[in-house]
Amino acid sequence: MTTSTVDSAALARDNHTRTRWHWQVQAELMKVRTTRLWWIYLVGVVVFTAWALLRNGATHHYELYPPLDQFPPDERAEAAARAVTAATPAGHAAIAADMLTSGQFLGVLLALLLGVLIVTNEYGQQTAAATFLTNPHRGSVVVAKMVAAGAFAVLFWAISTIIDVIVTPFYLNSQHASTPLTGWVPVRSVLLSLLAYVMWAVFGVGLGSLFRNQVGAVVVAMVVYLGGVVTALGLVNLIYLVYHHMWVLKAAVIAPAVASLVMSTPGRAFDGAPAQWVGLLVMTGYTLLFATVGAVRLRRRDI
Amino acid sequence: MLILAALLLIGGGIYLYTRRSSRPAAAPVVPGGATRPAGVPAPPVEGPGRIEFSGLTKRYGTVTAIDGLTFAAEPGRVTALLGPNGAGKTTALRILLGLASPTAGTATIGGQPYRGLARPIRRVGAVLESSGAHRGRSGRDHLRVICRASGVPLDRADEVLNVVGLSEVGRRPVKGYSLGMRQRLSIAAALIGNPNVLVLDEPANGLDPEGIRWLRDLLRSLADQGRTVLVSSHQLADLAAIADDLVVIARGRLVAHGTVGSVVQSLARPHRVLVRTPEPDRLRAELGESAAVMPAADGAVHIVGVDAIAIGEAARRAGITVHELTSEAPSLEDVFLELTRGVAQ
Repeated sequence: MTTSTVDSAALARDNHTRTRWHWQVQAELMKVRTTRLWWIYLVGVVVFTAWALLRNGATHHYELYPPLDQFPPDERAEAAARAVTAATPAGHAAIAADMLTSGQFLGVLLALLLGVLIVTNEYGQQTAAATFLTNPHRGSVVVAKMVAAGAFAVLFWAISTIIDVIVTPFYLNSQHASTPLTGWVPVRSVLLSLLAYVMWAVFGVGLGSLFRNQVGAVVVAMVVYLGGVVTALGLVNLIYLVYHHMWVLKAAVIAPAVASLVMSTPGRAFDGAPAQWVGLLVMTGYTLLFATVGAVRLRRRDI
Repeated sequence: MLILAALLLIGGGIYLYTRRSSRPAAAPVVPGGATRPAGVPAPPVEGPGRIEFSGLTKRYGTVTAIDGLTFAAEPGRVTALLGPNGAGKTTALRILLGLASPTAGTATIGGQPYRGLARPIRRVGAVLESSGAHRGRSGRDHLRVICRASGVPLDRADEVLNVVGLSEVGRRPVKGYSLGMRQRLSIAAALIGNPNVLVLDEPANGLDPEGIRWLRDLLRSLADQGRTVLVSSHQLADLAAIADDLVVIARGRLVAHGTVGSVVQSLARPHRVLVRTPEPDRLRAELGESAAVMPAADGAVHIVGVDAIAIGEAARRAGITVHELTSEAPSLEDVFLELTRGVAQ
């Protein structure tokens, strides 16, 4: 041990020319990379994508080639009609789009949870004081966390999409379904999937900023994402029974999970669903709202 | 696409704005380059390092944690912030470091609030009880994250690990560290920017006797290099040996402030002398009305009102045998307890 702190070869090279935003984003990325969380999430993305490919592959196989002799007589005609629709170029494109976004549902959940944990870990691990001592400009810390969460969301999306892009042509070939993967329908789905990953990750950072309790924040995030669709659609359908207007069904889009579903589903996500752009707009609004409220809340909080 | 373009535009605008507003006026001059001989004291890194609390008040609902606290810690001196548990020491330091907002008053470093410092890590190093490290991250990575966040070269982490004697365990996860090792890691983090101001909240917690001695030597040497060292403790023994100035608070209020000697003297307790003699009553009669005699332990007496010389002279005149004659100046511990007793209860 030595008490000399003044002789520093490192500090002699200190040339602080970049902005605090730049350094903070790098630090937030480093924080994730220097814990095991990073590997757990990567493994999760790969496993969920593989599982979703199997599930979607099986679903679309039975959609294209339904075992009509196993269907009840009154459902055979409908199944046959669905098979005919699925076998059209548009049907093939829709199947390709679905296969290329396999793993998105749980992958986005991982991105959301990563966003939540990037903030709540600061309290759970008591590192918030060290973080804000290093950079007392809390607004820039929150924005850096959002950028880092977004960057990891892009990585998750990229890994999942690469697996999908490798597997999907083989699958489509095995099903005798030919469609160009560079067509607008599959490409749009993949890009909307990217938006969903990023938005939910940023949403997670905003949500996490509202809570001190890590477990509470994770539970709320999972309820909002997983329970949101079922709860919102169940509620609007109940109201629809009383007020028989289409706008009631469309109103389900105000739930973030429903907005995300509408945004990333080609065509109509459910009966009475609004157009994709409405989902995109609502999800963007929620992302900005939670990001802003989370940043403001964190700026004012005593650590 | 439109939304992506809008986000890019907004992000770009924020980036350009902050790039302009956060850029330092000039690159800081770093003393102590690679060619500086080891151990040579360096002048303060940049800017004045006076810490000043002025009328600082913090209320949580109806509870007043700090009540009009006013004092300063000067460069080149170790200022000990003392007080019993719950006195408001940690709250005061958290406000100083921008981690909590005051209800009223100010706490500044070199005339600026912490949040106003352009690059605080090069000005202030802090050790707080809660400034911990992620349990799953290695100590070295914890320091590298701090280096990265503040734009300091990453190998500075290895240098400060060496300073605090944790080089050999630096790559192990923090969850395997003892309390003392974690405290050393916090101190290493505080030293990353070679700051001219050190703020430490109970830094001796968890350190073994060797570690406490090392800490004292470190703080003393840092102050001797011209840095401001403000260190809090609820145990006077931790700081008595190295403190230049004392700030005693209790229930959020300033009880005493000054040099160690002046604070001790400020305790206006009558001079007391311990006397051990077989004839205390005769000695009392000889001393007259000006002396008050009170029983002490083991048959001795405490005499107040006259000093030891006068007592010795009186005993000699009267031919009284005296076995012990001890002038009892109040100890630092006595002063601390005396000062905080009334307010803390």
